[in-house]
Amino acid sequence: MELLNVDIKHAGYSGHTDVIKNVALSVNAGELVGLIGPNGAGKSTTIKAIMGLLPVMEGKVKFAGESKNYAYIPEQPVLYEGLTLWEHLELAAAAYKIERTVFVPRAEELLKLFHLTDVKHHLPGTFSKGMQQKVMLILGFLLDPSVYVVDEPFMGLDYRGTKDFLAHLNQARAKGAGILMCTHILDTAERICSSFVLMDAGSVVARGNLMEIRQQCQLPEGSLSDCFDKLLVSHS
Amino acid sequence: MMTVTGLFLRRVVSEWRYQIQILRTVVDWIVALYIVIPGFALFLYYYLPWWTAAPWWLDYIPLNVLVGIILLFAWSGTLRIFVEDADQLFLLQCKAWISGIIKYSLGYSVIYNLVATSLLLMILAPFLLLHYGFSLMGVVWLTVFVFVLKSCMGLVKQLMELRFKGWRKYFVKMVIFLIMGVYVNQSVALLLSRLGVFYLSMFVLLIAFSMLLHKRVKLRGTFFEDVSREQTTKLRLAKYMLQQTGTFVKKPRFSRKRPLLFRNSNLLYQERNPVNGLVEMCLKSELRNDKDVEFYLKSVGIGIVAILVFPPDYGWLLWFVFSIMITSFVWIFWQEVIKAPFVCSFPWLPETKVEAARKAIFLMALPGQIILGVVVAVKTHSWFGALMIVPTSVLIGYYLAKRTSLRS
Repeated sequence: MELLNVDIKHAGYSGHTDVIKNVALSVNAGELVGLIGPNGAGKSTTIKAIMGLLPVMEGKVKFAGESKNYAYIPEQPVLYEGLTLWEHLELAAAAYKIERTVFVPRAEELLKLFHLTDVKHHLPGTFSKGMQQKVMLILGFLLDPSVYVVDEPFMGLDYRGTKDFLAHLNQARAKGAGILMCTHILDTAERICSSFVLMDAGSVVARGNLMEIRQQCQLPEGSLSDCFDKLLVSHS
Repeated sequence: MMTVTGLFLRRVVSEWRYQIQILRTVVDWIVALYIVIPGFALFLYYYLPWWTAAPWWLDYIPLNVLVGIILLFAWSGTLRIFVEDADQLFLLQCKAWISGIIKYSLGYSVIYNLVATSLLLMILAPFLLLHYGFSLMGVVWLTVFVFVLKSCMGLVKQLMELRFKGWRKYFVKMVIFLIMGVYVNQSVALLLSRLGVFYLSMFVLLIAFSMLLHKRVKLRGTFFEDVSREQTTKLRLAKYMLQQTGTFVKKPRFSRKRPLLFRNSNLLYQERNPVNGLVEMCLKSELRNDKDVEFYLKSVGIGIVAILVFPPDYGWLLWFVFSIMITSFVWIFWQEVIKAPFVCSFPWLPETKVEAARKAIFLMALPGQIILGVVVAVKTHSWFGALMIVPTSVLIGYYLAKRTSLRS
């Protein structure tokens, strides 16, 4: 079942209206799509376009699924310094009208999973970057959406945080959620993503699962990183 | 070769350039031509005749109001220490350089205070000479007194901020402010009646100033606080300008791990919905924000002083004016909350935001409005007023909040 369908003709800002062009991708239930590419390839712009944050956008973005909602987990933690960690979750629950009987056990479970139970009444402004990133992940998982849009999730996460995050992501996939993940950590992407969208200079260079990408760049045994290098060289 | 003097001068010049640039973004030649210059001409048109005859409305303004203005002026501002974040890379290791920068900065601040005080007293001079019975020497002495007092207060405030944190800092500063209020009131009275005792008071103030200055120069281990204060002071004008355009600068980090208030993230509303969620968030974060609480209390404090100083007939009018002012301040607090990136990341309906604004603004403004109302009732001995103040504050506060929330 298709949960997200994106077909962007072009998008950008006034004065630079085609920062990205001809970007088409889809995310199915249970699928983890890796949006990968070098710095400046247009990955973050694509995510902004999907979320309707760009002033210029020609194309279609369609969320489907049961709840038709999505959770965005940004690369840079966005927190409110005057609220405790638990109050962040309370605000999210109030905004999305999550039933208290659902919210409290789910929030407690997530805090336990990410080892933040002891600091739930602390102000996240004093947390390390990794802990703040975990708060963003918890906020995302709390909503239990049909689609997750995750921007560079591994930045600042320690080994255990990464492991817990991936475990929970897999759990969400097993329950039928779709995930679009923007990353440049290719080793991890190769291991966890079910398919890939490779971007360079604002457009899609290749898409498909690892086998298909290997075929496209004629590297039958190549790693994602090898394929990535070859595709970029031939594209430039 | 770079010297301490050269480095300090470069920082001062860069500071002035920065502030002028900010002013120029607002006061371009069109604004200057059509607003600033005509405004200044109008001011001179009304002001210059007051040097020959005091304006009639001064009859309604007691000397205490002037003392209040002097006190607020002396209390305002801070002494600058021109250190920067990057100084920790190299300069912090060169004790002589850091010490030099501190000495020059304090010297600069003292001269700045002298110029600012002279300007204020020059503007007030016709009122002092023609209406309040000061002699020319009296005005000069008052200028010297205010200048030394302002420098002293700047140093005391800074030392207290470095010594105390949290509520203790505000408590100590409030006590000092009240003591200073009595001291200034008495000193101005002495200047007009018993000059000999005033000279003695002035002498004591000068000794206190030199001791405070010595203490500040010798103080070590304050680098990060100095950098933080310097950044806040430098950006004050920019922040104000941005606020006028509806842009709110991010506030400094909370340094506390766990908040003092609502330590266990206690709920304010049992009924959970988007409006209550927003209101609760706004109330909690504002109550935890030292700067905003200080600003709120200062505004109420100024209102109390104004109500006490002016004749009782003005009491209820002043209450109403200050009620509007407090509502406007809390509207700014609300704007800061609702425009925070984290809050913006949720899909709030416009009607949710308006209703939450009305509720939050009303609840935040009400305590100040009631306190001021009680002061008016006590001052006017109006027991009926005292009985009516809570329901009146609720009704008028609700009306003001409702009107203000529509601006959101």
